[in-house]
Amino acid sequence: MTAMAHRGEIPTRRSLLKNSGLVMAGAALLPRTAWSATAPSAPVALARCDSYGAGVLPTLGKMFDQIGGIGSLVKGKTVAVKVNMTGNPDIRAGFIPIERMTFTHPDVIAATVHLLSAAGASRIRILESPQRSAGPLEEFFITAGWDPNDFIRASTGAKVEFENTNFLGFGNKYIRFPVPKGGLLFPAYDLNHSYYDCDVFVSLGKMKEHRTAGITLAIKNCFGIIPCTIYGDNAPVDEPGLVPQGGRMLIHNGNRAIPKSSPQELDPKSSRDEGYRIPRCIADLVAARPVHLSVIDGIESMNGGENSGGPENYVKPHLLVAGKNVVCTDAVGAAAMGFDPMADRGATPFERCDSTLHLAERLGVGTRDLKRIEVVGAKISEVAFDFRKSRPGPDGKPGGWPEKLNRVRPGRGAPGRG
Amino acid sequence: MYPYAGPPPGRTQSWFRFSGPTGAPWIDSNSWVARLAAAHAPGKQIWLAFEPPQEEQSPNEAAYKVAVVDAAAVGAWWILSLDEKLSQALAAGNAEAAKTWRGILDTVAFFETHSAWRGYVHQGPLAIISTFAGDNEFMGTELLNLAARGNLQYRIVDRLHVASADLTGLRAALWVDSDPPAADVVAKPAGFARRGGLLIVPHTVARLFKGEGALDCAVPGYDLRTFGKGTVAAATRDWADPYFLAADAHDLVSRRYDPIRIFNGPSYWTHYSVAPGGNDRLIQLVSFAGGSRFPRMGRSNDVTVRFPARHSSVTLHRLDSSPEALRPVKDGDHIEYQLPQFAVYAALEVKA
Repeated sequence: MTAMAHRGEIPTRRSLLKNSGLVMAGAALLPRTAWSATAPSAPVALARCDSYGAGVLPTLGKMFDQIGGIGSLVKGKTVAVKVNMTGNPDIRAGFIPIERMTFTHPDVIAATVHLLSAAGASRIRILESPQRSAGPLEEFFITAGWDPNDFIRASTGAKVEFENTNFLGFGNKYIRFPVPKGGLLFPAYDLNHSYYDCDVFVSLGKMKEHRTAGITLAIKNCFGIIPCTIYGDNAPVDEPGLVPQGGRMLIHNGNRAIPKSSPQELDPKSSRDEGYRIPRCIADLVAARPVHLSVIDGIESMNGGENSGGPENYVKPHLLVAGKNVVCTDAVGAAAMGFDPMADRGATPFERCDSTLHLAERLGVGTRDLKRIEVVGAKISEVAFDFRKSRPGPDGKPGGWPEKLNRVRPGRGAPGRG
Repeated sequence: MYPYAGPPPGRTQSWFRFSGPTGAPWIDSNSWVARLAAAHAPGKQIWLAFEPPQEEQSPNEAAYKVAVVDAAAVGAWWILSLDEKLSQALAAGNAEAAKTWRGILDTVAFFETHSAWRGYVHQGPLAIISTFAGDNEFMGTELLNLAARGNLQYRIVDRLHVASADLTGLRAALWVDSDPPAADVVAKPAGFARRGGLLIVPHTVARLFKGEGALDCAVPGYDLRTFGKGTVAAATRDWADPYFLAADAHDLVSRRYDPIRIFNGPSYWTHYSVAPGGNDRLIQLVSFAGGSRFPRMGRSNDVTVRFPARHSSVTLHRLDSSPEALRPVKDGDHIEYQLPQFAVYAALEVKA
C-alpha cells in the first residue's frame, strides 16, 4: 500500500457546496453581530425519545418528515454517514455500555440507515476513524459488542459499506478539501476518499459534553474525519504514515507540524491552546466538507466530558435532533442541553474554548441564532435536559452540580481527546 | 519437569502503565512463555524460574500473587523465589512479611484445590505456527505475547510437529516464519485451507500457497484469494512489527469468532480453555493493575464478560472469597456477566 497525499487535489467532480447552504461571499467582512443574521438557516426537528429500541425508527422517521423529507436529498445517491465512536470500544464506565454514554447508539445508526435506504439511497457508507487502528471498521464495531450485520440488515435495498477513514483505507490517494475563505487553522485538509466519493454527507453525532470543545454534537463529530496518518501522533515528517498511531494531539496542542505533503497551518505562531485550536479545526472541517444532514443521538449520554468519569456521569436526556444545516441543528441541540448557543468563550459551555458554533457561523455554514431557526416537533423548553445541573456534585451524587461552578475562569482546557 | 527461565511477570501499580484514552496498557506476562514451553514439550510439567526484581521497593503481596497465578493459569508452576528484603523480614519474624508469605501460599493452595483446571486445553480461533527459535524467535514469540495481550486467543503449533498437529476446530492458521516449509510440511497448512480454513502467510511463502480467485480484503497489506473451500491471505509486504502482525491476524480472522469478549479488560490477561473431552469452559482473568485501573473514576474491576457458547451456569472463583454463582445480565440480544470486584485473579467456570 502506498500512502501519498496529492497536492492541489481539489474536488471538482461534484460540487461540495451544492445543497450545503454555504454563503461565503463577503462573510468575513461582516461585523460579528451580522454573522448570525446572514448565515443560512434551515428547520430543525427536535423530539423526545424515551429509550433505544423500537421507538427510535418511527421517531426519527417523523423528524425527517418534519424537516422536509430526505428523498430529494438521497434518492439514487451515495450517502456517507459519519458516526461518533471516540475512544476504546471495549471500555465502559462501570458496567454501562459505551453506546449509552459516548458512542452513537447502534439503534440510531440502524434507524438512520433504514430511513436513508427507504428514501432511495443507492449506497450507504458508514464511516469512522477508530483510534490507533487501520483495521476494518466492522472489527471496531464487534469490539464494542455490536454486530455490523445489523446495519446491513437495516437497509431496505441500499448497499451498506463500512470504511475506516483514519488512514488511506480503500482509496489510493487522500483528497484535499480546501476551506472556503482560506480557513481558520489550516487552509485545506487531506481526507480519506470516502468523504469525497459521496453525494450526501451525514453527521450522526452524539449529544455530550466535551472537555476541549465544550459540547459534542454534529459539528464536533466531524473532528473524526481527519486521518491520524496525517494529523495524528507519530505522523511522519514528510508524508502520511501507513497506519494511524495514537490520537490527534498534534492538532490539540500543535507541538509539531503535520507531514509536509499536506497543507500546513496558516499561522504556526498562533495560540497552542487546544481551546483555540480544536474549535477552529472543527469549524474548518464542516465548511470544507459540508454536512447535508445532521442527526444527534441524545437519548442517553454522559455529562462532564468524554472520559471524565464513571457511571455517575450517565444521563438520560431522551432527545433526538435532526436538521439539514449542521450549525442550526447544533444550536438547537445545545439549547436542548441547557446551553445558550449564542454563548462565546468564557461562558457556559465554552469556559475553556472558543465556540465551534460561532466559528462555523463565521465561516457562513449556518446560523446559531435560535430566533432565526424554525424548531419543529417538540419545543425546546418542553424537552430540554440541563447537562450541567445533572452533573454529579462534590459529593459525587448525580444532579448535585452547583451553579457557581459553571462560572469558572476561562483558561487552558484539560487534556482532551478527539 | 521442564524448567523455563523468563522475566519476572507482574506489573503491579508502580510497574503498570495505563496510557490513557489513545494508548494501550502494557502488561508483562510469562503465560505465553509457559504455553510455548508446553508446545515444545507436550505432556511435561512446566516450571517457570525467575527471580523477583531486586529493586529498592520490594514487590508487594499482589505482585507475588500475580507471579503465581500468571503461571498457574496456563497450567505451569512458578518456582517460588522471594526477594532479599522479604526473605530477611520473614526470617526476622516481621508480621507484614508473614502476611505476604501466607498470601503466596494461599494462592498456591487455591490452584492445588482446582488442579483439574491444569488439564484444560487452551482454545482459540487461530493456530500460530513457527519454530519460535533462531531467526524466527523474535517475531514468533512477540506475536504470542502481543496477540494474547489483544485478547486474540490462539493455539501454539510448534513447526517441528506441524505435520501431526491437530488443527480441527480452528478458523485460521498463521504461518509466521519467513522461510518456507519443507515440501512434506506444505500439505498440512494447505489442506487446512482447502477444507475451509483461512491460511495467513508471509509474502516470502506465498508462492507455495497460490490461491485462485482474488477477494476483497478489508485488511491493508494482504492479497486474499480463494483456496479450495477456504482462503489464503498472503502478505504483500514484510512483517516487520509483531504488534501490527497481531492486529492484522485478529482483523483477518475477525473478532466475531473471539470465544469471549471482555469489557474494561485492558489490564487483564485473559485465558480461555476447555475441559478435555467436554464442553465445560474456563475463563481466567489475571489482573496486572494491582489496584484501581481508573484512579480518576475511583473504581476498579468493573469487568463485563460476554461469550456466545451455550451454557447452564457460571461460577465465579476468586482467591479470597468463596465461589459465587453469577447471574446473567441481558444487554440487547446478548447475555453478559458483570463481575464483582476482584484484586488479582478471577476465574469463571462455565458449565455446559
